[in-house]
Amino acid sequence: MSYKLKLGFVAAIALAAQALQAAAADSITIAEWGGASQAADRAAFFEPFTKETGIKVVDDVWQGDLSTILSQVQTKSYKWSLVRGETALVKRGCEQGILEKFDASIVGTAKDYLPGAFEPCGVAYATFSTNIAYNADKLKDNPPTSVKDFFDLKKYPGKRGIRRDPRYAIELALLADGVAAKDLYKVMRTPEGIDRAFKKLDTIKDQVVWWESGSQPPQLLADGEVTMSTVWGNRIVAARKDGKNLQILWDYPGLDYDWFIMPKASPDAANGMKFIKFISEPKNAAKLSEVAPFGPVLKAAIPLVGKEYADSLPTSPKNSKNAFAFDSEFYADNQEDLLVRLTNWLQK
Amino acid sequence: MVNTSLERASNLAVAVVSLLVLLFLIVPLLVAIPLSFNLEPYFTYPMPGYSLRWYAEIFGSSANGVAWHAAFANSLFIGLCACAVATVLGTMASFGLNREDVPFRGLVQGLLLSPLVVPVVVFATGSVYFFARLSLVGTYTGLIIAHALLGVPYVVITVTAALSGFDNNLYRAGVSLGATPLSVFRRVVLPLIAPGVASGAVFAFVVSWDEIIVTLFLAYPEQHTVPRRLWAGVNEQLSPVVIAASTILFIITLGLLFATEYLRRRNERLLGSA
Amino acid sequence: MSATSFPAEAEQVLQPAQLHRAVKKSGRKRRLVSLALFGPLLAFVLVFFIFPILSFMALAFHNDEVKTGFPLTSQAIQSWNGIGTPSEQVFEALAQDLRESSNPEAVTIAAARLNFDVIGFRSLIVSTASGLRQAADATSKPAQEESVPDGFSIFGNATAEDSSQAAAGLGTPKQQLISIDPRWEETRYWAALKRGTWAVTPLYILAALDLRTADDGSIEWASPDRQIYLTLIGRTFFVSAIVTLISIALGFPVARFISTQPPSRANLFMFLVLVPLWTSILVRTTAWVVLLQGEGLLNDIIVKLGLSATRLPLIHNRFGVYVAMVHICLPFMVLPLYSVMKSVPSSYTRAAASLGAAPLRVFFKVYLPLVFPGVAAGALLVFIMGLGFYVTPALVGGPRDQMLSYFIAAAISRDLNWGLAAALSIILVVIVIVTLFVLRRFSSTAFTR
Repeated sequence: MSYKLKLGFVAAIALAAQALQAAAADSITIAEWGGASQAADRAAFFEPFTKETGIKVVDDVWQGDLSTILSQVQTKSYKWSLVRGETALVKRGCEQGILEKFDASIVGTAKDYLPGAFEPCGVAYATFSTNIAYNADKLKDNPPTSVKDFFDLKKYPGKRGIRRDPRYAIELALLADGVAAKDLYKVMRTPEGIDRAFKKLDTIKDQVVWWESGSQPPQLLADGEVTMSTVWGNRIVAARKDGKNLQILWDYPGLDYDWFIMPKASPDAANGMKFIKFISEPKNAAKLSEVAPFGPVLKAAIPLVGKEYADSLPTSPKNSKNAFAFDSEFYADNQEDLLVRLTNWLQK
Repeated sequence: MVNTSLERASNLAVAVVSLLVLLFLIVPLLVAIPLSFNLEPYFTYPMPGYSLRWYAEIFGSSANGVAWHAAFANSLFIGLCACAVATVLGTMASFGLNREDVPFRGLVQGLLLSPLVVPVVVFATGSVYFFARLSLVGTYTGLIIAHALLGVPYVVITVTAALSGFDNNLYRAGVSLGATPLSVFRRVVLPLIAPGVASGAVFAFVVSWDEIIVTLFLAYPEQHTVPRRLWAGVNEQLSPVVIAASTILFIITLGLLFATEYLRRRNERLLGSA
Repeated sequence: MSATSFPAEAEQVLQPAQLHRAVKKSGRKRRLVSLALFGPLLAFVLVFFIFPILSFMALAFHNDEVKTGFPLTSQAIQSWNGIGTPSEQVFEALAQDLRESSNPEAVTIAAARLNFDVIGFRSLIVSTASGLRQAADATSKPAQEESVPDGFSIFGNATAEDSSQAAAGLGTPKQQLISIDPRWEETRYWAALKRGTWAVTPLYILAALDLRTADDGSIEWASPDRQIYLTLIGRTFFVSAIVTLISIALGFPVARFISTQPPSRANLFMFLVLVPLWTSILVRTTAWVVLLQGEGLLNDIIVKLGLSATRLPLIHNRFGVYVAMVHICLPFMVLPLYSVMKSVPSSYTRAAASLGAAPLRVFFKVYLPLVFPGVAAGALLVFIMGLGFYVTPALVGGPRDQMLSYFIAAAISRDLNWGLAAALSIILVVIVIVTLFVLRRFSSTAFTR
């Protein structure tokens, strides 16, 4: 190698290294699921928080892979101060001992939250819904009215989008097959119940488009690739704001909480707790519901949500008339096994 | 001859098929490029207008996820370091293995080339487990080590090939004239095999530059490279920014290919004249 | 590696004793220099590549969770003969492990491990532990019903699930545990617990082959609606084989064509082969997504040309996987083929033809045997590559097109199941190594009768 080449090489490395010098003064990094829900948190929480405290919020995207949190804790090299997760992840992570426990002086006690929204390793802050959605331009003459229509290929020909995950797919099949919402998990705890769900899914099997990322179904619906799809409700509301005429079917929505969790022994704990304290203020918590259709979880925040927003929330009396809540205990036991069964069923 | 017309027909068929296959190889790479200049965020032709807005987005700051320019800096930094490690160690090793009576040469060579054979996912998952213990997950060092390992076989192969055209008597002559082995290596051997070393180095860089699987498992947002950023883009929502970034990646790769082609020809000339 | 252990080579030099010794000495020194040159890289590869992979693979047999989580039970259960339920002492040990654990995290990790063996074991342990805690803490007040605003009562169903109603039931530890959860009467939970105390576990390797250990210790098939991995292994093999065959079919004419071109044009064509080879797999896969998707370019063309009235499903299915994988693998087929074909002098085939052999006969009897090493090398390369594919099927395939690598990655990132990921990795690597040996043997014996 010539001298010049060597010099150039060293200079290139030095330049690249310099470009990497990120000014990470006082900041926390929060990992979320991307897309509309992350944009909502940014508007409702991150920006006001930075304005009030001067602490910058860097956001990142993750896919619910607990192994990344595990390795951060094991290696003590933390990249995320806080992470947004669903109930099953909170429980799983807590059991694996990789999550920080929150102090009552900051988050309050179980009494302050909706039932089931209090866990030692997480702070619930939003209720989100899993729904069926459809393209209202394409189905404007006879919009679907019940989950049964999702399985009615005669009345509503065309493909169906379903998340490649047992969650909601199994519930949806059983509800459409006539199981009452209150018996849902009783039925699902029996092998016959699961068989029944797959039998119902058999009826639409060759019409299903499987999605994995939450941003796919609005796209699939807007492009007309599917007639109906399971969706995360808030993504549809966001797509409507972008001018797409997509509609949510409020029949048997599945409700779950969104939580903030903190990798154990995080060095950002102090600033992270400041953020948790900020979002646990009822007036701040209520803000999220005005930015995006997430229901409040803090009881004190419920009356603070403006009337004009309250009706569109997944937790409003109208929308949640026959809602059910995902049973995180059931999924902690059965998630992995149901995925194996789903894979097996897909291969047949 | 009797068979001439038949032969000509079969030759023509082979030519037509070959040209179609070559088109199949090249066209998909080119056809998406114009879309990165599309005014609107769609992927259909004809395009309503042209703009550089997606490229501007790459070099500006992006609201969502890791900034593209940071990803390019990461790719460059990690690629250069991995390339340096792989090239230095790989060249030394190839030279060592090229000497006479090396014990277990076959086994050693097999081990050095094993990163080429073992499926990358297995290495990626294995390294998450082991690197975590060494606190190397989510560090530049960890990624550089992993990428260097994946580049090593390419350096070993190209340098070994270059050495096969090298006359070991030159080395022996140098040593017998009183020079230290190291200076003989630097003054005699290295200049002669330099093109081989350089193309090995380019290979090692490209391996790192394109690597995604190990990066998926070992990198934290801070170290996200361009392929990692592309992965997020394709997984989440395909936008023209993704096409623009992959176009830049493609053009840089093309430049490197020209560079190695140049090196290869120079190598041929050098060996031919030696 | 000590240099002195290899004197045989030096002794072959038959010279007077003195010279012999000098040669031997210089040989040793030379070997040391060689070692100093390749040693660093060898150490680097061993420490950061071979060792991590091997220690990761060992996790497939790792079986410490139960022993750490339930130390007393693990000891006590050794005396159980595997029939019915174990003795009173084992129940007592379990109750003690659950009640007085100094390491509650170890208990939950053990519970997750047992849940992989027998589904539902996790919640059995969780509910038993909380039942025991309530029994011990008699003053604990039941969770009070809070009034909830209208429309929010739905969350009742998730939390009402509490099986510890009979927790306070007194009696022997056995009666107490069974009164908390009657599942403790079932043999299969205890059998799984005992399997959890074995020094090493076959659980993951068996699971990765759709097998399981029955309660009597024999090996049986997993239930038919849970068998996925043999199909997966077969698919991984099948997809690689198809991709290899297509690559041979497309690569052969291309390599043949380029090898007959004059050098300058051949260089240009080879450049066209090298460009995709050098382009990032992700860039190429992205390009295919843009081309193949429902609203993509290829569908635009198909509809505009009237080849099909509707847009065709070209992506997220096997077709997309084949197209994208062949595109990625083809250069690796063309390169070795080309280099072999270039070295076959055209005079051979011409000589055969002039001796009166028919063109097909010339091709099969003369040309093909001569270029076969190239075909074999290319096929080997493509097939081995194909077995490990991850990114492309993940992005352009559907749920029925994922290969082994996808499940290895998912087992870790989604399920945190290191044991299963390690077992699947072992299977993948074994397949690769066996293929390597078989195809090598085959390619070196075929055509050399």
